[in-house]
Amino acid sequence: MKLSSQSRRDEVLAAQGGAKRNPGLTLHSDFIALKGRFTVHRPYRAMIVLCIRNLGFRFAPPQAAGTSCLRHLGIWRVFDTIFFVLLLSSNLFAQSPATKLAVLDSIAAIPVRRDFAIVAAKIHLGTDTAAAYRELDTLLSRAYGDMFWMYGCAGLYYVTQDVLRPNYKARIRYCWKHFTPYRGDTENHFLMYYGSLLLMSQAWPDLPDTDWFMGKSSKEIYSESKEYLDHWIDETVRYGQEEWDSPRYGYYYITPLALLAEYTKDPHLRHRFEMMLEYELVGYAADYLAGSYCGAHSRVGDDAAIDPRKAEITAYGKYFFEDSVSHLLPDVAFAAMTSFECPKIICQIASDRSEPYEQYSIKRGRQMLRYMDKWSTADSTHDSTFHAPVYKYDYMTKDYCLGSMQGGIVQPIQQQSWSLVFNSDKPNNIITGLNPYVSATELGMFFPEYPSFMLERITGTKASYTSEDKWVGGSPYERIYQDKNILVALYDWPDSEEYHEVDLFVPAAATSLIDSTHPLHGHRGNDNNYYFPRPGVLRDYEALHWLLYKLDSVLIGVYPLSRFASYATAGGTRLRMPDNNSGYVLYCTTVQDISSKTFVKKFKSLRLVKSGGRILSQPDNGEAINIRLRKPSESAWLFHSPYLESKKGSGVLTLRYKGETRVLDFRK
Amino acid sequence: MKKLLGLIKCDRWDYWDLFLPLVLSLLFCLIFPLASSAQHLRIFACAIANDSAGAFMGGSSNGSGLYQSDDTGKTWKHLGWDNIKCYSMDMVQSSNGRILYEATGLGILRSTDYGEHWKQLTDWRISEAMDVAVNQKNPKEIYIATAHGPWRTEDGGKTWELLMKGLPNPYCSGIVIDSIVPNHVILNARNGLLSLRGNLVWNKIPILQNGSKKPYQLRGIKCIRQASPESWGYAYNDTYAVSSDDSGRSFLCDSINPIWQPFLTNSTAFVGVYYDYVTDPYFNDYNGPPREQGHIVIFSTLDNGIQRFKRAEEPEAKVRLDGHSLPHRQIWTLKSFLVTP
Repeated sequence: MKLSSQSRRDEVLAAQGGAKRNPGLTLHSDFIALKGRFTVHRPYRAMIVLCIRNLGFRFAPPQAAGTSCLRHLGIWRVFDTIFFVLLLSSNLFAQSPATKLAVLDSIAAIPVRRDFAIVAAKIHLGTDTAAAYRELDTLLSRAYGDMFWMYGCAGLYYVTQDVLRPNYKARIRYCWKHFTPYRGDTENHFLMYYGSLLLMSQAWPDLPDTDWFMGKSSKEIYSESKEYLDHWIDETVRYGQEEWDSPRYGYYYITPLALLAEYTKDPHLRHRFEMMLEYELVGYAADYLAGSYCGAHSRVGDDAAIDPRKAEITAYGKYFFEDSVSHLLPDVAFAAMTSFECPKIICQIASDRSEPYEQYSIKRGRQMLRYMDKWSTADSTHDSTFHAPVYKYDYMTKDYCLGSMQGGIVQPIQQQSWSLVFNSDKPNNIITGLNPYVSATELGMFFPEYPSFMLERITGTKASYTSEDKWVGGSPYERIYQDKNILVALYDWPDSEEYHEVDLFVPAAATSLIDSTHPLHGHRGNDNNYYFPRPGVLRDYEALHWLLYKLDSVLIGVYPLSRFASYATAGGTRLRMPDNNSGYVLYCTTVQDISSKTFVKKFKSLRLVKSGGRILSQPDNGEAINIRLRKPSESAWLFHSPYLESKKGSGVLTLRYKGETRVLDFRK
Repeated sequence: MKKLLGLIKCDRWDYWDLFLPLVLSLLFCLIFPLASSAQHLRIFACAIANDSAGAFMGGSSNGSGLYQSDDTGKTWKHLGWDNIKCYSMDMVQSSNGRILYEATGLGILRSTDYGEHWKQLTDWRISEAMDVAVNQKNPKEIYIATAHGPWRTEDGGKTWELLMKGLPNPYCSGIVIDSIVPNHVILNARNGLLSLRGNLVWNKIPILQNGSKKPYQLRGIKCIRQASPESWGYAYNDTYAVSSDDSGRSFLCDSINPIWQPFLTNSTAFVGVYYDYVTDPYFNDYNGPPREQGHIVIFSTLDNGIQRFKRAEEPEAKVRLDGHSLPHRQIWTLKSFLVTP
């Protein structure tokens, strides 16, 4: 039976909410975006729906199905908001049926393109189905070739299984027999590949090996996929994730896990996938500050490296932690078509910043293939399977988060070793720094092809990699030390390296607390005839002194440990230090702790000295800055913070929030 | 019976009328198989991607796969899977091209019908398989070199064993089995060559240059054995070629043959030579005497397909072998075999 778009929407909402929607009620999708943190938790949803039904209340003027209500401002929005604020006076979180429907509405409203999630949303809702099926024809017409195609195809097959036309089901079957998608070579690739195969072999459980592209039977495929996914979960929850805390690829963990947690039939396995999804989400939540993913990252995109909210994973942060549709990307539609709701405790961990906290965690670097002793000049250790250790540390407050790992290269090309992220609505709410490192060694460490050739060719795929001005990438010559709100980064490179400098990004939103006429700012050392080593760009270097900034309520002091030049860059200012054996010290605090005026007065007179393995401020004898330059020691904790606790090797993660506890126990 | 004998007792011409067709048929039956069994060279090109900017490393494998040529590279036919990083291949030589193995990004694939259909023999444990070597005397024994270490199967791929004993780093890109002594295996690893001799522990093979031992990352390793039983292998990188004249116990390093220098850049994946369009001692075993006349250099690159030129010509005269059926590809390996059509 062909359903109309509206009746299909009703059916979807009823299925997600457990109660049929009142035909007289038109949910105002703009309200869903507006209400932000006033979100609707599962226990209250049925009550609300019942109240609405009993009242026969009409929240907003009826609208054509599938149209966005974002344009409708005014009395209805205010009325809706007041009503729900009164009704939901407690702090409630979850992905309400209304939010899910708003997600689907928004994704289904995107003009159709080669994206399974958009096509699935349209078919699921019964919106624009002719165009959706036409696009599906294209998506199934030739082998697109990889695991990204696979998880999208598997997702569409499952989320639309009750409405997908039989001939398209048959075509999908044909594809999985004849297409030969590539498995890839990273952790997220393998999750997508084996996650998709598990679901599809479950859908067609009795097929012989001749009916699958790789020549294995359904049972063999299911068994292998299960074995890999079990192995991956066990390794990750015991010894740490390889592609840890990735603002870019976290998106590609959450989507397949949401599908696996919903559609896996084996209850034990499904439960593990649900826990793993929560595991991924809570790791993100603990580093979440109002839409920004904080701290160090294994893999981040060029844009998001200096503008955190541009990261792909923000779509899921907004959706799961804030019940918001303000930052949607297509795959969120897959999550919205499942029954999964982010547990309240995870949302609370993501949002409660009333008390500052420290979090220690251990991750693993990507498996090294070559040059195992070259990932860091300060450390050459690795585990028995050639993963470098990653010691991650975050200091989170309500105003900012300063987070780092110890330095070195543990992931190729896209690593971000530290960041100071601000709780600010302004763009580029981050300070970060690096030594732009480019080498065949880094590529050969993680990719099997010829190192020298990869370096020659990499600009085609990762254009920014060889750029002197890049903002992502680790360096074996970087050592980072952090104690709460103080961070020290030191650099020491050989002459043979291509780029001899350290760069620091300061956002445009950070205003300098020292004007250019200030004696500090105007002071230059004796070597002011040195010039910036970029062809055609001549700049004077400034001598050592504190650079003091303010961004919203946060006060920041940056002390370059060598001469530096500053110049404008996209989104802010680049501070470039050309001297070897240099680095910088960064200090942050807030106006609640010290006034701007006092901050300037105090810091402009401070100098830094290195003594006994420490960096100390003088003449206050280390009162302001006193940090020990100590290599991270082996820790027994995979996670250790007020919110998260997991002993290395245990396979158990305990979530805590104000006396409430949730345990993710992966032991069999 | 008498009637039959009567036929035989005919005059001479009658006799030939009867037997000539039979004799001709018999001769045809004898000669045709001999003629049809003339071997020719089949070349396989293993592509890990096309050479477009977006198809390089990591996630992309567009345009990759195994290609076969039966006309010395003039035309190419794609075999099996699209979108698979094909690093190398091997053939069960007694199968005359029917049984093929592909070393790929997702492990080892096998075809038993000349490349029409393929089955994945390995599971999630094995990835980035960069070379495969079949023991031609016992085709169920297969060795593979992967970026994560070497593996072996003794049961045709049902079970695999990781061979890490004695190997300091897991990365290896090439593996060959001695064609005379099958339990002698040489691995092209991160810092040079290692060998197995009967046991399953890798031993470093010394590579000598001016009397001192040096580690080398070599690109190719071949078992040639054509000059004498002691002459064993050949390997190279951008600058050096190494060879052994003591059955692979040690290798001597020399500057690479100047004729190859024009082709040895960062993008050169493979260099080989074949002779007279017939056989290929530098690719595979060849038991005849070395031929020097009119030989042809054939080489593959990671950014310019496959090319060749005759030794007598200038390097600039090199000709691309991709034609219309093999557009630009990142060709990791070329291999050739003698087959009977």
